[in-house]
Amino acid sequence: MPLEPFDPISLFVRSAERWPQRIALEVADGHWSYAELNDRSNALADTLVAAGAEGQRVAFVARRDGPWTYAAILAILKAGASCVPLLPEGPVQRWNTMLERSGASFILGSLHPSPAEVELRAQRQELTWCDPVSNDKPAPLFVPREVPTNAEAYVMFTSGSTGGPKGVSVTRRNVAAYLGQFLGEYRFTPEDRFTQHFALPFDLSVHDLFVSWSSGACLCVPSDAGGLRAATWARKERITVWFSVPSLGAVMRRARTLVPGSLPDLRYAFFCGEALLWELITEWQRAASNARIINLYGPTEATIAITAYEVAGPAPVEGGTVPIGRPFGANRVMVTPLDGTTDVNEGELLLGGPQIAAGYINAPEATARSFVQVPGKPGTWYRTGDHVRMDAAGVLHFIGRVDHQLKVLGHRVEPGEVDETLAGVLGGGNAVTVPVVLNGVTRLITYVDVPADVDRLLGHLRNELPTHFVPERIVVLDELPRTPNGKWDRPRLIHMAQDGQ
Amino acid sequence: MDSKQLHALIIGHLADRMVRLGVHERELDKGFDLVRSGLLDSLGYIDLVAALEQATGRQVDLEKALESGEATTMKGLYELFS
Repeated sequence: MPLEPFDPISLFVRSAERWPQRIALEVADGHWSYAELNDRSNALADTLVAAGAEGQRVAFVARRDGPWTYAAILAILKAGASCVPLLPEGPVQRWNTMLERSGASFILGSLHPSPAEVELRAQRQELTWCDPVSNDKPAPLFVPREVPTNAEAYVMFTSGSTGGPKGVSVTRRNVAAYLGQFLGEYRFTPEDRFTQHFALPFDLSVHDLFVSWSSGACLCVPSDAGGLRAATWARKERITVWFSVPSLGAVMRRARTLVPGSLPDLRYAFFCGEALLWELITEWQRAASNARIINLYGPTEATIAITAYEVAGPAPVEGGTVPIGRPFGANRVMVTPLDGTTDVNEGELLLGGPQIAAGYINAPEATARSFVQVPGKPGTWYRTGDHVRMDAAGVLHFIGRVDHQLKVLGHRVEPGEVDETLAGVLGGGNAVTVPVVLNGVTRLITYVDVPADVDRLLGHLRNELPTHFVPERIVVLDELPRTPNGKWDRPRLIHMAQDGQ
Repeated sequence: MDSKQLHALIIGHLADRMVRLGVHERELDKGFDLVRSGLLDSLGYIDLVAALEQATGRQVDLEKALESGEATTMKGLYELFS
């Protein structure tokens, strides 16, 4: 099948043909034009196809410190393969889990591999390792491979309450649907300068790359650790399109760098990934008075974002969180009442339409639980687990979760995944992880009910899980509290955690 | 506040995070970068600066301080607050 008009590679190649000399990518130590990025990714795609990677899953350590990784993403898609980005900070054990779960048999090595990547390569000799192509090598003529209609674009992992991380399989068609629908709502030009804040193994980065490149715009990658200088950087880089988790906005506010009038070039400020507080909006309106401020919502399973709410006017005095809005394009939403309730406008949010992913890979039970058919409503619906209310105007408001899932600095964390990882080293003891909000930021505290060496437990978690899963503290109790019906009394543990116990 | 007192204050504030990430006090030399090392995320760093501001009664211009690229190191914090 020829590539669809809004396929990410169609959009990139069209921009490369139309604006070859415009800057496509700016990183700390240089920039690449569309022509350079196109040539470099062609060379790499050619290598991948020659190695037999067409139609396969290709993993890579997704570092953002140079242009190479961006060429790698384009190359994998041009080769008709699927991207499996690995969190650069590892740990190696987590990479191994993701390689096994994704079934990726190809891996694209980094130009300057980290010690952890060298260790992975020594451990996983059975994989086909492809090496990056030297910039000096002339770029071959390469025509991006046509792909079947159900071709996968990427696998991104989300936290799972039981059984560890789940790989979401997102197709090229899902991404094309998102790009077509999103670009139908908002207008960008080749003069725009986009932020690239999101880590590449996080699907919101797909928006950063391909919304920017579809418009012939420049994608700007910040170099500073943790976004502490984000406001200064955005001003100096003359950023016009901002996209980040609200937490980054909170960092800027608390660092006192989000000062009135400080971001005059900004035309759009998009937020996604966690609840957006109205109090943050007021400061953004003052800092970026020329910008439209839009709250996006969508889980990885529904491809990047599926609803939007544009802030108009001042924040309400009562504060709270900004609505998640209405579905855009052909996306559909449905609210199903929770058990024991009859209010048809409040309950769990279900999502439908062309952005709904194919499911979790190698996890048929989890897929069947979350990707469901609804009588009288055609297509597959994704059960978000998000508790929402729909107001009279059809605007959705986020209330909370129907389960225990948390967001830690925008990362989805199932506390059960922490507890399950600890269970293996607790000798029959139990672990329960709960959130604690410290200075407005969600952190984790884990309670265990057996005498344990806390340093050893934390060390075990560091070896197995990404840093944002590692709790602030592990507290040993004689016994974990239970509710009258025998479940862990999480509200009580949350209360204890908040009290510093 | 002299640098010894400041060092003790910083270590006291970081104690839980150091245990969490298995970082030992001897590793926290002047060049140790609290954010790049992953010991603190950006909000954790701002919490630390806020705590040091409260303890020393001194408010810093963080935007200016961060320009140098050293403000997130131990040395940078000594210079900001001692």
